[in-house]
Amino acid sequence: MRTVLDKLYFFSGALSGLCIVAICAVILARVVGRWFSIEIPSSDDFAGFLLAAASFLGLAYTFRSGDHIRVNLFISRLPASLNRWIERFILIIGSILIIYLTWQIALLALESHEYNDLSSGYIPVPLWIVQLPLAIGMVTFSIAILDQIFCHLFFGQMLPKSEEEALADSQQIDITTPDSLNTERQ
Amino acid sequence: MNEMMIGFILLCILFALLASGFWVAFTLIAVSIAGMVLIGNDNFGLLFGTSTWASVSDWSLAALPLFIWMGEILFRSNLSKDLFKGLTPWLSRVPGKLLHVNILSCGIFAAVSGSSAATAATIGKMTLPELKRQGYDDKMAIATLAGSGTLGLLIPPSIILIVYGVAAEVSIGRLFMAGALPGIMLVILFMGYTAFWSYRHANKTPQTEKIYTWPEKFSSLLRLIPIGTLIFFIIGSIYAGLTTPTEAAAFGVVGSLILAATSRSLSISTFIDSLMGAVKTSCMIIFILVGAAFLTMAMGFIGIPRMLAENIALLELSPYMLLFILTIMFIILGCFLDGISVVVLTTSIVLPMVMEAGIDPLWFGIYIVLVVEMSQITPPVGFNLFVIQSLTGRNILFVAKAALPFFFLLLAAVLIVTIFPQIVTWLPHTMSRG
Repeated sequence: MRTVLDKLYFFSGALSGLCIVAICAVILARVVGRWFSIEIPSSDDFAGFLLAAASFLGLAYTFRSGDHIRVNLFISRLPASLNRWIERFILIIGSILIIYLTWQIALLALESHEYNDLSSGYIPVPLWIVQLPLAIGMVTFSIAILDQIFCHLFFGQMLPKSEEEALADSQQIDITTPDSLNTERQ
Repeated sequence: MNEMMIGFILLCILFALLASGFWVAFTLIAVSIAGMVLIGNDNFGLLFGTSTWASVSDWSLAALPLFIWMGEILFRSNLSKDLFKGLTPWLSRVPGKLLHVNILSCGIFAAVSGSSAATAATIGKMTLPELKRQGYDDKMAIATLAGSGTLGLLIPPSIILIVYGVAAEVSIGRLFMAGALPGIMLVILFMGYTAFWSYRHANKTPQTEKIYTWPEKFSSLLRLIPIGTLIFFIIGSIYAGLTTPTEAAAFGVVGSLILAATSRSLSISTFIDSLMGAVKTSCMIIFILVGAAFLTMAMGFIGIPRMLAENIALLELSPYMLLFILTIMFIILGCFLDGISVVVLTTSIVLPMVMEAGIDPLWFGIYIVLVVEMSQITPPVGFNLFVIQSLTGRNILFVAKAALPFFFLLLAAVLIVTIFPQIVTWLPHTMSRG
């Protein structure tokens, strides 16, 4: 179960990465096309849709890596047991909020489907198709936060630290020995 | 219930949630929902959907993940080493020598990598041991590292300026140009101070170990040409109106991939790492922007920004007085919040008031980034300080005290751009389009 979930987050994050690559490709095609006076139709719309998909598909992966910014300046100074209870508290509020927002984003896509809304660009695209990745991203995000609550309650797993926090906890470099530069560069 | 009362309740909720470690993006959304409930508007779910879709499907925001990815690629290349080796021969005769290498390589590395904490860590790991070995003053080595890590926030391409541009609806291209001259001015201020300090404390800076010959200098220049070309191309093409910032970002990604490939630091694993790093950072920032867009909408419904603007108009403050008060407020806020959160809270709540007072939103963007830079090197929150603290094993107060002169230099920069706003506005006004 653990590996299935982790794969789900990574897979969704990897899709988000592919969307970023695709944005880059669409925009390059647009500029190169312009040099040869070829207009790539609706390229800015498509870049926007891909951006929306990229932003939401990666949410769960980002959450599990601890990269969504939070201020843990105050609570990290508290005694460990109190800190644990506060983390549980914010996780529960957070999950209620995220599940509610997931519902709203899904509703957005459903309504676009119901009213057959089309995008307003040169090539009209049914909006529900490009809004679907947002809903999928939010559903994965909800799963990730519920997963986190479960691990927190039953296995005492604390919230992960972000890369920057990890950087701040990184090893002290040895600057006392004269040849430290050489060891550093190896 | 009047707006003042609602505003006060929301402010309490905001700080309570933030202080208990609630995610910033979630906090912005929760506060917006609370505000909508307080004014009895029960349409917030639908409004969240539409405001979110409008804010994330905007293609000008696509510059954000692309510039972040470019930075992640360069961060994993040999750029830091190239900067160090390329700059050292050229600065060996300036008073302060290697300290300037610290400033310039941090400035350039931070500009392209977009993270000042990562910059301080990467450059610091390389320069700190060398500075120590040659006998430079500890305090100054730490101070230049902490101070110049913040330069990347202002020098284009800057992630935080994209965030401001999107949230405040100001052209990103113009913001980049507006940041260029103040960025150069800051570099001059930092280097000037360092040269002056080294001149006064000649006993604390070691004698030049090595005299570099001209051929050596030119061969070292070769290391700087690729990155120099990349930055020049990005800024130049935006300035000349050849590309939009988003298009320049796509070329930046291609350029940095070529740069990494030619320096043999590109492999499949670094490629994937850089892409997944970009996913994490851009998802985090864009979700904050989603929260900010919703907060701006909710605030508009409640009428708090309008109320603030009207009250400020009644007080008849001069713009200078208003800026003075805002600066103090931002410095305090910046002690607890990261830069991006400070920027989005500002654009949602105080921007209408600032525009009411006749302040140019383009100029205000540069002003707020300068203030955010100051908060990066003030305790208790300031990732630069934490990173340097762990690198050197010095206590955080020592690091903060060492960085204090650079805090005042940033304050001086705020003062200079307030008195001479042309430093900010001149370059964007000469742009061909944008």
